[in-house]
Amino acid sequence: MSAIEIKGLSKNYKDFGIKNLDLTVPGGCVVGLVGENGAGKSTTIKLILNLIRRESGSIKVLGKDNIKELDDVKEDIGVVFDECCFPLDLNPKALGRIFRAAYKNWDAEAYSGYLKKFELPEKKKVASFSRGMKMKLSIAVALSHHAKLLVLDEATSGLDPVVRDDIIDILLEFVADDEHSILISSHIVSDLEKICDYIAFIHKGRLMLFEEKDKIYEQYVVIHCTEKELAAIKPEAVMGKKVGHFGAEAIILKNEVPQGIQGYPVDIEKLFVFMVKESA
Amino acid sequence: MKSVLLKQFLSLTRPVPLAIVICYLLYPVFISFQTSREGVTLNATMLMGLMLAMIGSILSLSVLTSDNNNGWDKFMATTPVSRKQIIRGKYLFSLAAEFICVLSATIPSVALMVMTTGFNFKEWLFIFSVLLGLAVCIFALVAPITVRFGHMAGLVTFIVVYMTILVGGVIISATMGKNEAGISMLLDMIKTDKYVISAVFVGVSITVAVISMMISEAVYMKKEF
Repeated sequence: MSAIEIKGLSKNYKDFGIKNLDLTVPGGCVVGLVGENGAGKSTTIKLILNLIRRESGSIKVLGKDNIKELDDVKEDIGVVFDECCFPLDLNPKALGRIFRAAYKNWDAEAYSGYLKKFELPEKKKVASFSRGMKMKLSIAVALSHHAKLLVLDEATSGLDPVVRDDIIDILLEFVADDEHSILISSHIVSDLEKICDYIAFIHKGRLMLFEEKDKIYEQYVVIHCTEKELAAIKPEAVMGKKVGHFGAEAIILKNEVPQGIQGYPVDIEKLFVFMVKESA
Repeated sequence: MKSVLLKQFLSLTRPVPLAIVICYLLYPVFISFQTSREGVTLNATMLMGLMLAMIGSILSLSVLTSDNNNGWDKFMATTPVSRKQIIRGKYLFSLAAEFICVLSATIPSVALMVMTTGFNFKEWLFIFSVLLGLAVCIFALVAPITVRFGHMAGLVTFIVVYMTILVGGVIISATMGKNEAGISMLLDMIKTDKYVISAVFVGVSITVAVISMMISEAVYMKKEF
């Protein structure tokens, strides 16, 4: 069973919209949702969590419709937003009491364990926490009710590399078995490269690419060539290009690399940037 | 809903008692504002009661807005707590906070009664139900507007409603003071049966609160975060 199944999803705003989006988070996998600011990552996540209403399409979360049946599966979903949503005048201990009443599967021992692991003081108010500490607290809460699906919306933005690395390690532990899935959105592609099985590129509300990360590395390469050489390559094989004074740089399908030209390993960030610029 | 009630309790554990203590410290100021006209008295207890009723309403409404502003409502909407439970929990707790504020406002009048004429339960119940009814009705009017349109709209509505009641009360008081028949009617009504009047105030405020909660629920179910 897929953790999340989205088909034909649409939502329109005045200057922006999600258009006919199809996306799947396979069970036991980590899907990274990559996009620039304003691409529609947070909107997609809010639609999944039914925080905003979809206009068309269908969304299933852990096999249940996300409007009619989402209450049945909320117990199994852990959510981390980009900003700490907890009352600043409360401390982690008080929050633990609140969530123990909210979640049937709340594990107070696990919560205490995560607080100790993340070195978060139990009796200090959230207002005095740094951004990294608040994010760790959010993750501690998300992991303390035996969730099967974690949804993280820009959870690592604004954090220093050490804290981001800690969080990535924790998420890798979470998906160590095949029972747990993660949907994580970010514009920090390097974080997603470390953890994701699948990468979804979203740009201006449209899904540009959804592929296994390893297949992206296998299928695409970066080449440096002249404009003339680039023009000779089949357009459909070119995912994106940059033409400058000293030649061209392009990301193309590996099996379309012309003879005499060296192909270099691609990185996800470059692929995404090139695809976005190509679409413009 | 238990988690919603617990959260409100933990958040308001300090502000509510603090508000009550501050009002008691201001009691000498209220005494200086006492005034009396033919048959209608605005005494310190009433002033403090009005103040505490207002504070109770403000604290209750702040619960609605701060949770929205800091993202707590958005997060709670992702937990197994349903949106209906969230609103009902906020209403229940807000009304309980109002009850405590108004109850504490009647303590000076009880003390005064005990020291002078002896404790009169009917008299106390009348004061209590009038103040509570007033506080609950104000909250019930303003809450759905706050839920739908946000903090500023709620605050403006609250100020308008409160000022209308205050100004209206002063005008009525002034008018009744010049109208002997009016005063007699009011005094007769009050003398008739304060239990009945108390029951009416409580009944009306409960009804208004329930209707307000249903409206807020309907609004909240469609809210987009």
